[in-house]
Amino acid sequence: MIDGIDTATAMALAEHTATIKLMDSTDSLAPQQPSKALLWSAGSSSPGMRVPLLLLAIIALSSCQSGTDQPPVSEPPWLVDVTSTTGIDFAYHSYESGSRLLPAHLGAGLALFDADRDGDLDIYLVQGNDRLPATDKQTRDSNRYFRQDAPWQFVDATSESGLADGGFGIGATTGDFDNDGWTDIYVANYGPDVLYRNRGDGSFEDVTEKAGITVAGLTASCAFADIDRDGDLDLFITQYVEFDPKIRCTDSVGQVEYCGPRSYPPARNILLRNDGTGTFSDISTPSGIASSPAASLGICCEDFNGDGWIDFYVANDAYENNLWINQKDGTFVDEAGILGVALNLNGQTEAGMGVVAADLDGNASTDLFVTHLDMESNTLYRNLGEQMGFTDDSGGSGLGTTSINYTGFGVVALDLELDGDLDLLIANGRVRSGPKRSGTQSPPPWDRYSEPNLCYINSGEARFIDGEDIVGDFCQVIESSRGLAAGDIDGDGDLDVVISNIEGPARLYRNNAPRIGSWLKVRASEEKGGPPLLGTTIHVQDGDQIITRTISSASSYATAIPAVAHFGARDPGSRVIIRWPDGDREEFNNVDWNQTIDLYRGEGKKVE
Amino acid sequence: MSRGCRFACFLCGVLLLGMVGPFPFNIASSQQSDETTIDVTGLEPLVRRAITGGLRRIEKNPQSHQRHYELAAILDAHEIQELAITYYQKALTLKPDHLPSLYNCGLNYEFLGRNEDARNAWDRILGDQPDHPTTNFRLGEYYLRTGQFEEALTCFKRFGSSRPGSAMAHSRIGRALLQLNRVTESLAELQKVMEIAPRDRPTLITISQAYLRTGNREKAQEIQQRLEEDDSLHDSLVLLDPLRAEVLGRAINSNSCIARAENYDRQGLYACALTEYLLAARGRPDHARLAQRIGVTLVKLAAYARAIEHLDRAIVLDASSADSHHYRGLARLQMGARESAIADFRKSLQLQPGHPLSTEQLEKLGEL
Repeated sequence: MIDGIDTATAMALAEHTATIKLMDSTDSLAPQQPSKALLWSAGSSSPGMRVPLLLLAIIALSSCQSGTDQPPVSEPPWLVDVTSTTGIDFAYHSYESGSRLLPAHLGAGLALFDADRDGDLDIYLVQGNDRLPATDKQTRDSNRYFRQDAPWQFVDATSESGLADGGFGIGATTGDFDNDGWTDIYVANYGPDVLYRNRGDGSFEDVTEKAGITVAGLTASCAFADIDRDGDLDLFITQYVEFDPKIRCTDSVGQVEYCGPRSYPPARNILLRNDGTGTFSDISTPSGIASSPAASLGICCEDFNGDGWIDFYVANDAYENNLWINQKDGTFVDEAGILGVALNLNGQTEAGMGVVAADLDGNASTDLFVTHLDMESNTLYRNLGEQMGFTDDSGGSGLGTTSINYTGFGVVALDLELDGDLDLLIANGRVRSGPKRSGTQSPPPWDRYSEPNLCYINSGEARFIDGEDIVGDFCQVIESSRGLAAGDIDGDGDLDVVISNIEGPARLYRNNAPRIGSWLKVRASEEKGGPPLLGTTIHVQDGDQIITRTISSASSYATAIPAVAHFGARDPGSRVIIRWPDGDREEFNNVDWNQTIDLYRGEGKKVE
Repeated sequence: MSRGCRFACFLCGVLLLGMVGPFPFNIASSQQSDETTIDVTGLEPLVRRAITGGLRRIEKNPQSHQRHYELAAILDAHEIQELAITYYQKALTLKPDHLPSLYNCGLNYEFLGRNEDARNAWDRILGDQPDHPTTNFRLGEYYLRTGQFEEALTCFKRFGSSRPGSAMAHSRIGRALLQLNRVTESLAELQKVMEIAPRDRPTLITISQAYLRTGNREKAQEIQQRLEEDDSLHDSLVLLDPLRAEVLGRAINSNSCIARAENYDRQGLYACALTEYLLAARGRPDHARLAQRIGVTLVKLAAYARAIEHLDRAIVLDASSADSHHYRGLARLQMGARESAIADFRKSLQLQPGHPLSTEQLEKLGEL
């Protein structure tokens, strides 16, 4: 089955609630959802009317809200750039010298995670390099690690952490590969990748060689996941292309330009199995993963067919996307075609960059959203449930034509205003030079590659409206953006945002959105002190609806996100149902909201 | 010789004869009251000259919609879309029902994300010609993208009526029906595509989805198996669109020349390929691979002495290319220079151990 929730779970949840609401476009106008009705009508009004109507709706809602701890704040913008006061002074350098070599325009992602287990989020920012071949490492401009010592106060702890990799950085992912309770980090490079083991004392150790990892291609995104249910994290590594610096390209008017992926041979993705002894074995070929060469960028992992085994979705640039379904025997079969997530609705391949897997339409099943090149649209693959696969709902959702003029990379799905549904933020930046946009903050030549980011507010059941004027700073800065992550940086219960930019500062945005409902953050582990169990799916109640989130550290573009499930809800219930990565379910009752909770396996009531 | 090749040969001749004079970097089109400035700074010389020529033709005949359309088409072909729209609009001011301008203006609006403007342009065409095939197709795509599936279906059906037996029409009707959850009808249309284009991979993928929606997972998986194993499947549907082809044929930048040259090369039309490569090289004189391709094409045309000149230059620009050495070796061999040919083949093998063609030549020559 494709749903993230099966009948038994749904019935269990429904015991104390009304019937689970069926997916119906008219539901957004239902009387029990006054706010959504207002938001939806705002979406269908003229652009100029949207903002006032939305704000009116939010203010009206906020004024009659009960059960929330904090009074709503109504003044915009929802996301405020606070970088200058945080101590973070990082800019990604492309070392672009006019040669337009492809790795430079890939930019780099980042990792947002709690490296020191002090309860707040730290940030690892990945840096470029000017060396070709990329096997040469340089240190004058390395990756940097910023430790958060107090809310919004970061200290550059790169040197003491040992995380100053000087490779040609593209991305990073996080996970506790050695099960010692401390989150480790894998750095994706053009050139040799690096695995850093977290020693637990604020420092990291380069264990790449010790772990038997010899990945040296053009790695983009990676994902830690336990593919064989043996209790340790394996590693999926996307490879972009077989880059050849001798191949040069020009644009439509003959100017030197970055080549597209089809200018190079496609690359084969890599799957490393954790042997449980601190080493990894390359099972790319026997697993089937290497059978489909492509130009892979984004990745996310989840149990897409609900069989208790982790699957992978890979966004490919100009090639069919892959949905690798776990066959439970160490092999995978690509079912992207039959499940409707390989191509767009016209049967065309698109330039897949970033990807997020999340329940965007609130029907308790996981949808997929992929960012693309300009002249294509971003694509929402809505999960039809009941083993029917997905359908391209980009047009109906409002996410299609509105994105056709932008090139999307990083993407996050987050409940900005805690109203129970997921909104979308997208980091944009061209890969082909275009007209310089007024107000761009990037230096040449990146001023011709810069674009504003996109913000979409979910007006209910995957109908999205442009939130530019509401969200503010995030959508108004014009840069060439790549990595994007969301997490509760200041611990106040809503999700803040970090973005990386080519030849521009990494930026931190504090969430100031007016709060419509309550919040809950859930960490799930095998036992106290244990690592987060990636792939755990959590269901909570919001009135008569079920909200579903999955814990993962891999999402967006070349970026690691916090392994915590975050919920907003207007009418939160006290019951939480967990579906552990192997499919077992437990329920936890009497859960209070507006807090972070740790749930341990075996401490809940078993759900059959 | 195809029309495109004739055009390229003509243009190449013009350029080689030096009939096109110097040009300013900023060219103002002052024949209209609303003066338009085209900044051609940094454009490839070929493109600059084409634009300059277009402007001069307008200056000579400022009331000609055709001249404005032609410049718009040149700009459009080189993805200078905002300006292309300006000149399409000027053509439409002079001749409001000029179909090629309306149609292509709509496409440029679409490329820029101005969807409503695109739809309005195409609606104007359908106001006069409700069954215009490709306009119905474009509007169908617009409706499909915006989630208006019934409207998309209507347009695609009109497109299909004017193009009976079109695999593209059946494909789009099938996709619209699938979006409308009319799965059985969708399958019937998609099967028609496979009858016309039996190796079309995207259609086969969509058929597998449709089977899954009917609950026939076995059939879907059977198709999936074929998708995994059959390397002959490919994206084979092409929209026959004369109005668009007329514009795209005006692209004369290096990329488009190279693309056309490669196409000619695949068809064995080496003279046409050579013309396109030479055109491309005018815009990129220091491009090693281009010099190499010219040399290789000349080898195919048995023009060995000229081939050696170009391959010499290719090697000067990129001494690490095994192929350049190999083909220069072939040309030298044909010219009777056995020893220097062998040296080239050996160098090719040194640069790329196991180079199959050089290995074969050295074996033939008894040197391995």
